[in-house]
Amino acid sequence: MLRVENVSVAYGRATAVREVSLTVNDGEIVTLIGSNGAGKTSLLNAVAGLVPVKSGAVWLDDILLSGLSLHQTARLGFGYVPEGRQLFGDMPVIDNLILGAYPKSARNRLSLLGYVGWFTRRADIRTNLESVYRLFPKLHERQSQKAGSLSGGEQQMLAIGRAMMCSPKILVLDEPSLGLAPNLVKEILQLLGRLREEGLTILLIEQDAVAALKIADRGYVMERGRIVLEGTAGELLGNDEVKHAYLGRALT
Amino acid sequence: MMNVERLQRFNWRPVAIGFLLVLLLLMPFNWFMGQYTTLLVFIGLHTMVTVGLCLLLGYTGQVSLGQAAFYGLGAYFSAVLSKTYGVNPWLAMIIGAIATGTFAYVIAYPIFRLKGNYLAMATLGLGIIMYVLFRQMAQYTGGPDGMGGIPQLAIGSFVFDTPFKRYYLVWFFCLSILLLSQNIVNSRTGRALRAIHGSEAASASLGINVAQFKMKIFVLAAVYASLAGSLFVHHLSFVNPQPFGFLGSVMIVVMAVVGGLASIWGAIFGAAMVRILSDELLLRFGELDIVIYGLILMLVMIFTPEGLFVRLKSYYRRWQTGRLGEVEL
Repeated sequence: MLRVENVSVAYGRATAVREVSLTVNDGEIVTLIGSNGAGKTSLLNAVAGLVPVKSGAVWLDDILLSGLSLHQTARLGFGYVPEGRQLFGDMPVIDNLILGAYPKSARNRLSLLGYVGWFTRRADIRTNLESVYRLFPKLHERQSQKAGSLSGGEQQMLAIGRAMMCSPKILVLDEPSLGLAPNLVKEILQLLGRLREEGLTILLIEQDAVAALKIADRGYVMERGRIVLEGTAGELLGNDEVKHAYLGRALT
Repeated sequence: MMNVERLQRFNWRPVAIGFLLVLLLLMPFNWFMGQYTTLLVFIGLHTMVTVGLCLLLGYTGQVSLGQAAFYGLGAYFSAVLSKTYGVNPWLAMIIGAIATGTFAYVIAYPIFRLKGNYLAMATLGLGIIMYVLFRQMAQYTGGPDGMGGIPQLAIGSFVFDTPFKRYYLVWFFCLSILLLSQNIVNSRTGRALRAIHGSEAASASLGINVAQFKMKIFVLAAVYASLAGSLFVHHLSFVNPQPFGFLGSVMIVVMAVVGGLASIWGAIFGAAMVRILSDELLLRFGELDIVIYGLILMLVMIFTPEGLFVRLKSYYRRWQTGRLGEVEL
């Protein structure tokens, strides 16, 4: 599904990510863990097209993503939930969600059946809206409230729901647990598990390594701009180095 | 099911707009406000420019302190083409709008790499440069003295030769622009614009082409201003650089702020307030008028940052719901 090949990212002369490769297969949850400043967000921003890739390539199925900008990758099915949620706080919940359906319509317009696409767009949006409301009944209750007035957990749900509105091929989340109470983190992560069961592919960036590995299939550990470890979630959870570095347990 | 449940109450909107239309229709007659026809024409022209700025500043969140430059470009294109080169005034107007739009498009490339205060400075600079050009390119523009004898607009043998006729022409354009803008704001595009105002990164992550939208709205605002400029010179049959300088741009910003930045119909209110103030009250202040504009801008931003018009509307609404509450009790 998603292949990142030898990607490097640099800000001026400071290199943040060095030659990182990773893959996410269809229907998997893959997590990328690492401490602050390891380069996780830089890598993700480069993959999404927010910052340019210095070298290397990013493929989504057989489409080359590197070199495209963020709005283009979004239209190709790259569902990006940025760090810190980035909701439109002054707009009602429902408008935030409808905005999420923006790329799909753009894709329809490109097709030969563009005019049909124009007519079916509203129906598409409605279907997606209903499925998002099924996932997050809270959002339905609060649909006319301003997004900024929601609680932290609800805002994160809205951010995920908004990304789901364009039926993305892959959902990429940057630290969904940021600033949330532990029980809410659990709730959000369980929800990602449910989404995977429905066939969605997910790339999850997390600092909360244990929580992330518990729901993930595979994981990568990043340190100072490089991938230092990779393996199945079980392997990583059992790995002493990981335990020591990220799980806060003493080596036994 | 998915509709927002609202308090059932009488919808005043069509009534208010109908009232406004009737008022606009009757105002230039002598028994009503005939002596103010010229002022009313100017209010219409400024509304056109202000709406463009509202779309740009209030919805998309991009500052422009140089809207008067586009107003002036439209004016001078129309003036020079129709007087010096004898081009049909309508054609001159269209050429002016296209040329101004193209100019705005080209300028938008470098200018929208800037944000916030820097964007404000750049557009301010653009306005000043254009003003200097209008003054200095005297062989085309007539320089600071301006040029007169600009032909009137006409449809067939019907010439718009009195302020009374031109009033309807200007307000026809003005209302068309207001309606168009209203539709843009309520469409998918409008939602995208508000998203850009909220967060550019988030908008892009949803597939909105942020740079392109900013440019499109900038061009649209420039075209609005250019059309207003063309109508302006054919109204006065005279043009000089004075209205297109820095003060002109500031006036447009004040109009947009007084009317409410994110309010299309507020633009009429803002343009009317500021124009009436400047024509009827500020004359005695002479050069100090810019101080008064600054003061108005500050006061409005401090006390009613959403705009005077929007605030009045919300007071009315509160009063309404208050009354409804009483009835229910």
